[in-house]
Amino acid sequence: MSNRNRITGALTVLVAISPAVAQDVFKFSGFGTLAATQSSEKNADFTSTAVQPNGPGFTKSVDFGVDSRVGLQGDVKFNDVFSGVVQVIADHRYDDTYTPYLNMAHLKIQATPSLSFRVGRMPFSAYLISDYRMVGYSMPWVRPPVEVYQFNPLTSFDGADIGFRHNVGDVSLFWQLGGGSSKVKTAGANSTAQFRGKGGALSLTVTSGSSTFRAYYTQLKSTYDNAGIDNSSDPFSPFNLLREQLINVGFGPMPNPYYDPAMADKYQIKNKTITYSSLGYTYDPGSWFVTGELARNAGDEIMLPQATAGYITAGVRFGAWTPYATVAQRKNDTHISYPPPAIDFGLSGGTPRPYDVIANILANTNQAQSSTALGLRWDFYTNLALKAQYDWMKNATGSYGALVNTQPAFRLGQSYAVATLSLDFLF
Amino acid sequence: MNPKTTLAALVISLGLALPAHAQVVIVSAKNPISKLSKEQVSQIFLGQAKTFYTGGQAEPLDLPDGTETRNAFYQKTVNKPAAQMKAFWAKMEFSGNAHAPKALSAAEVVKLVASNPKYIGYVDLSAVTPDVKVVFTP
Repeated sequence: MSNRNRITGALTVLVAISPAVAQDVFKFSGFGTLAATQSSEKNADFTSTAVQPNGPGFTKSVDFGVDSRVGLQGDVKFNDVFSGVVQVIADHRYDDTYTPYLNMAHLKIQATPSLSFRVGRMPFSAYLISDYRMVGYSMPWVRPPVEVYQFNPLTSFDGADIGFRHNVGDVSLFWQLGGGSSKVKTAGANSTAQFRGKGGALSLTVTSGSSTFRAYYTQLKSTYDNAGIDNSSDPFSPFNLLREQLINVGFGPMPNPYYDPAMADKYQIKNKTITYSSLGYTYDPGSWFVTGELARNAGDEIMLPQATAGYITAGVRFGAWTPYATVAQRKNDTHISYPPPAIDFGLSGGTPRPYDVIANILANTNQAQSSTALGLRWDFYTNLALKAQYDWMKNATGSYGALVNTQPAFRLGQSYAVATLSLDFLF
Repeated sequence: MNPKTTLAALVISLGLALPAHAQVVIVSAKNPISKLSKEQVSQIFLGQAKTFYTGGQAEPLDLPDGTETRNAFYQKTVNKPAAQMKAFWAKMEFSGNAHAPKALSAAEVVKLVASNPKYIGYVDLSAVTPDVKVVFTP
């Protein structure tokens, strides 16, 4: 090291520890939402994510767990090239707690003004606003439309990506190519389940004037572990039962009447390809806005239906008041057909027949629905916004829609209403 | 209306229109750029362009939150009032995608802009010095 470099190095250290500069190096901030939600469907619970175990309706009259959340973020900027971010979020989780979890923790390298690399944990940005769907203040609604945003339970991924930004005339283009793995714990029947995937994603965001357009595609090799349906140590768990040629029913091994490995292979999510794609568009000239999105999940035929969903929202800004309206729909693309067995063999011990269990899983994963929502946002004070939203939900025939914990009196394919009051804040 | 009040009204309206409080966008006198469009300025201040059209690095500087000049600049250039700019930076920062520009006093903005051609700022016309040049008036 030359003397000059030594001096520069020493100066860098001095600058880095001087308090005035430290303020620029580290930044702490946060966001949150406090929301109360009520549902008119009293024989089931309304949820806004794929991981919430309960909600308003049957379990609670007024529930704060649907949209409430708090997030803390630490940003560090070493220089124009290296920066990092850590974000911790507390919201309603699979185990009915608000245990904080790490939503982001990555290092960013801005190699040139237009080329950046990130490595670590990043948002799983399958849809137009996935990157900031936790930040109520930054979106028009109390929650992003469930028809699209309940598709995929993954919120973050661990890996790396490359971002490339360039301009063509007055049009700004941003490409992002990433790869990695992701997992999330979901509330399973009588147990905790985990959904995980590995793969790559490509997105393009185009901005011009008041218009923003975004296209996204990801392909994941996915696995769903749920001890309730595929516990490998329990020969009578549905997927295992389908795979065993011989079963022991107490008086010794006998041929398994349910032996059907092809059916297990078809529906069980073990290293299956799942794709998510979306097209989103926003036009926001200031005094009004319109935003819409079309999303689809596809891939191998598995126990999750392939579906297409979309929504369109329009709002008008009158000073601090922003009334808005949304229409949304989610339709299944694959018709889930379940062939019932020709003969009911029956097993001793009251073990549910695997066919019935699988048929039940297939029925439960049907989330086709449509909705209309009206809402009002009021930016009444700096960093605070109050919102009221009323949703008319209609479950499609045979569908559970966004409902969980369905009770015996619950009927499929019915309409219900959801009312929400929320306070969004930044700090 | 008599001629005297007409004259008084004219003087008042001229007084209000006087550019002393007009916001102007400035770059270093050393920057080769002489003029930017509203769209170009808007993209740089929203983090959608990281370079000037000449290819040189562009880093925007803000005035403090809540100041009249800042609110007027964003309303005229980006068509967004303060609350919408807050929502915009909340989504950029909390998604880990970009950071809001550094906020400094008008004197500091002028000083930094003068010192390095990568900086771009907006100040009241009255704060402009010979070391910086006006490239856009919202």
